[in-house]
Amino acid sequence: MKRLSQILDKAADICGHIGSGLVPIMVVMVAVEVFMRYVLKNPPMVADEFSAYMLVAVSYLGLAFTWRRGGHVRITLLVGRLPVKFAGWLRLVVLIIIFIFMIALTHSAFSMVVYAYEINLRSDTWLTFPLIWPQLTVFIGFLMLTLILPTDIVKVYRKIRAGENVEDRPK
Amino acid sequence: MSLALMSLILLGGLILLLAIGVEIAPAMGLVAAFGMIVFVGHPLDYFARAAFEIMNNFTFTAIPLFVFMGAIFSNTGIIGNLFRGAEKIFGNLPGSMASSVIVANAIFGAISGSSLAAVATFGKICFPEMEKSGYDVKLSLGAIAISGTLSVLIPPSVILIVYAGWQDVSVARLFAGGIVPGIILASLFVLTITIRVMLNRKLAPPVASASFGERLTAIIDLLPFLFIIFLVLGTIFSGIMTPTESAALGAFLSLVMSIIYRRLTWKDLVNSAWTAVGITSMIAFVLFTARLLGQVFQFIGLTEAFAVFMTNLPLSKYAILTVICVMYLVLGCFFDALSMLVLTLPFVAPIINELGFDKIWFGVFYVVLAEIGLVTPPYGLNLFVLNGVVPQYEITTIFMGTLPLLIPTLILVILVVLFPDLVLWLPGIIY
Repeated sequence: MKRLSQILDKAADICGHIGSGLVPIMVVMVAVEVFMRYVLKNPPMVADEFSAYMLVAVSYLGLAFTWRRGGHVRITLLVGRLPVKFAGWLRLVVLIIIFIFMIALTHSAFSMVVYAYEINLRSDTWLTFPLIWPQLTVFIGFLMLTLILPTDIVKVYRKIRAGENVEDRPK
Repeated sequence: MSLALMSLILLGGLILLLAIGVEIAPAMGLVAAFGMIVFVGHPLDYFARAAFEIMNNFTFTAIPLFVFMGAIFSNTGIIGNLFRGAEKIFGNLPGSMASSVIVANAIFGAISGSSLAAVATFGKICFPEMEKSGYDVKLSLGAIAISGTLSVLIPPSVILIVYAGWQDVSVARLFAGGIVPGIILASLFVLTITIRVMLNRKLAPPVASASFGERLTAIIDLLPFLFIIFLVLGTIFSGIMTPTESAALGAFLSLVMSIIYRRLTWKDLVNSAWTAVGITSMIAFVLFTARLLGQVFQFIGLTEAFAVFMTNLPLSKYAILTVICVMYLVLGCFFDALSMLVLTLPFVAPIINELGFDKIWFGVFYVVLAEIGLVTPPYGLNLFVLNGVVPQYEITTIFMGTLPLLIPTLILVILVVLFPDLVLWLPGIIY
């Protein structure tokens, strides 16, 4: 279980790193577009479209990575005041609910990708870029978050059994 | 099923999920999914497409780029130069270091769109120096916490970009609308600190004025920052570049500047990109689930019914605006600015339109109100971030320090309502 958790954490990190690698690429791509437009008077006209696809990738590939770092905002006003054990069980239930929601989202993303593949869905710009690629990042992002949630559920369960405070988020 | 019952189930469910600690984005998504299946009869297959479509947007591309730019400046520690430069220029004012934090943050606000980055960075850099110089702890922490809020008002602002994308208004006009209120607020903060120190000399050590040469050097130190701000905002306002292009230019220049200053390390670069990914992912998840929830509310007719109810109340438009203000001040104690915006906008936007308030004006007005939420317990994010930097001081100590500085923000709220041109004048001139 520990090994599986480590592998999934590593996979989430890799997705996050890919997303973070795209940020400087976006900077350079848009900067080059601006330079070519104003200095060389010959813009490649691809930055708008590709930077938006990269934004999709950055946003969703980073979901699990951000989750691991406690980056998704939540209100702990009430749960922070509950008895440790009760708060632990509540967090367990919450994680299971989110896990079920993420399964539905991942299924939805899978259907989207399959549809894009089947009909060879392309952008309606002059590039007619295959949309399966940016849509695939949505699926991978949702899938990664879905996969790391069970490990969180197990970690929280173990903490409850050990009488620890689950609000010290699993890292 | 009646509208009242459907609304009760959806809103009650949302409140329940938030109260038991479900992350805001999945909480909204769960309620939206329930509403879609039970009340709308829409398949969940639509969810992923909505997730893709909302972020496949060139306007929102500016978000990670501006965050990256601000993170480069804060991670490399270059913005420490801002504080030290401002300290020399404003050295003659009573409580000059606290005022310098405000001015440095106002300038940083014109580079970064993130309040939290500003608070964390200035907390690390400025607080030790202020403490060593004998400044009152509450005054110092209060100035750092509240001045971070300037980053969300002074352009570029992530919240204003989201609002623009959500309401389909010009980012550039919104940015222009934030400038005058931002300058007024920074000036009011400095004025408040100066008056407080003049009334109570124990709050800050006597002023140590800088020589003319030192001030000149300080101005020269600030020039690279001012150049980047001028270039980023100038190209947006002149229409030469889109906000995204300006963001890319600014991020590129921040890299160049940090290389010139020999401060950029691989670790800083990676951490800055991680910061951009973390904030963008969080925003994307919130945005797409909020959009779906908003659609459910719209489909069952709740948003329209709420707008009709509010506008039919026997109240003047300013009384309704006051109700909205109070609602945001209360919600701001529990929600972050982004979640509060996307959760309430489906309800508030039709009312604002119906009452005849300008969308640009309301966007800036919202940000001013949301600023208060950033420093009010129990969920003032700036308080938590600063507490993380100076864990030896309680959150209540930080809040007590920010309390006197909330007065200028409330004054600005009133000024913006009384004189809408404070917001609309500059966009009107530029466009």
